[in-house]
Amino acid sequence: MADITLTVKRTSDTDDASSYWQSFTVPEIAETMSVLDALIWTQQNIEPTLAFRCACRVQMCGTCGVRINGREGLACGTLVRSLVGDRGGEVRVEPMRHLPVVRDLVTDPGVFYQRLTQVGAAFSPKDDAPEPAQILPDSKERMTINPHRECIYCGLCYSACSVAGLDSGYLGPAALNRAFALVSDSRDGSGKQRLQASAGDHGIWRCHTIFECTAVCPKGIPITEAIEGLKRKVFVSKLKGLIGLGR
Amino acid sequence: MAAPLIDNQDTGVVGFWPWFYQRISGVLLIFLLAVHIWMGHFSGLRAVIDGRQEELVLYSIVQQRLAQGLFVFVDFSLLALVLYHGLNGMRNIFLEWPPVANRAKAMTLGLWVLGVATFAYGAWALLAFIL
Repeated sequence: MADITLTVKRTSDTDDASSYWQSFTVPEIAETMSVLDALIWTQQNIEPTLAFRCACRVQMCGTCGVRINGREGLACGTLVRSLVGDRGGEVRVEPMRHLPVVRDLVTDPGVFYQRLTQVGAAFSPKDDAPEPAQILPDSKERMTINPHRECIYCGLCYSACSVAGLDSGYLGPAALNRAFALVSDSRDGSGKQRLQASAGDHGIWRCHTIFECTAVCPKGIPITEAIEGLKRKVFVSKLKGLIGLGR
Repeated sequence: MAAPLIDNQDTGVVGFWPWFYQRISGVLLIFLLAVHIWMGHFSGLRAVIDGRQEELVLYSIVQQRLAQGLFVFVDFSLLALVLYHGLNGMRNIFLEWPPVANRAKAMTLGLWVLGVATFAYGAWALLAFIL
């Protein structure tokens, strides 16, 4: 197996102007070697100050989100072999976009979580909800909600979203996806507020339906579909308001 | 019950209504453009095939048609919708550009002035056939 060149965008402080690319020669230890394995090998054998985040290593926690060869991905879930084939080559790794860089590949996800709180990411049951509240597994409602509950909040969609880069206040795909999952849930008691929060100047109307978020989601969540779903719900809500059914 | 924080108000800058009107005008444009293209370029097809007319589009026929009430309505609607749809689309693009997005109201006003002036110019051209 050939060596690979692991090129990492390094930043020593929050000033992006100080960033530079550094290359390391890394042996491809196994066919199943991931980008995270390559980063760990580099840190343990060449550059102990290389900073990155990781936790579960099995695509469950969403901690190791980075940009790999210009595209967002989980470092643990991206095989080196899928990028360079079996003849070696270069793998370029850089931090996620639209989030402040703390150091090297470590970003501060504060803004990303702030957006989730803006749509009320926590489930809030209706006051009169019967216990135990149920949505049957084969019901249409459950089928609508299920794919959107898989989010691991890795932030890859936020990084891939062009609109998030142009409008710093944009709620972003993950927050809107969460809002859609909750608004679609008949047990949730804050649907109106969530819709209102999603439909502001920095919400759903900003989305240009480019599908970048959906393309990079490691869980395959149809995020753009969620945003379009929210638009339809706001439209129906406005229509009901106009004909007097919304009150 | 924990209600979502609402600090993302719809102030009308990038709100529901511009999005909604863009879609409505788009759907209407598809219909009106089909009518416009058919009537303007292909309605004389049968006459040309039968040999009753030499060319597909004749100025005298266009002139007559533009003086009829229905086509006056179609063409004025088309003019207004094309301008709204196009300028609202431009507005959406400008809103992605921070130096202009920070002056969204002034930009919107400017586009309205441009739209009204262009409509007036187009109407003036159409009215020549009616009056």
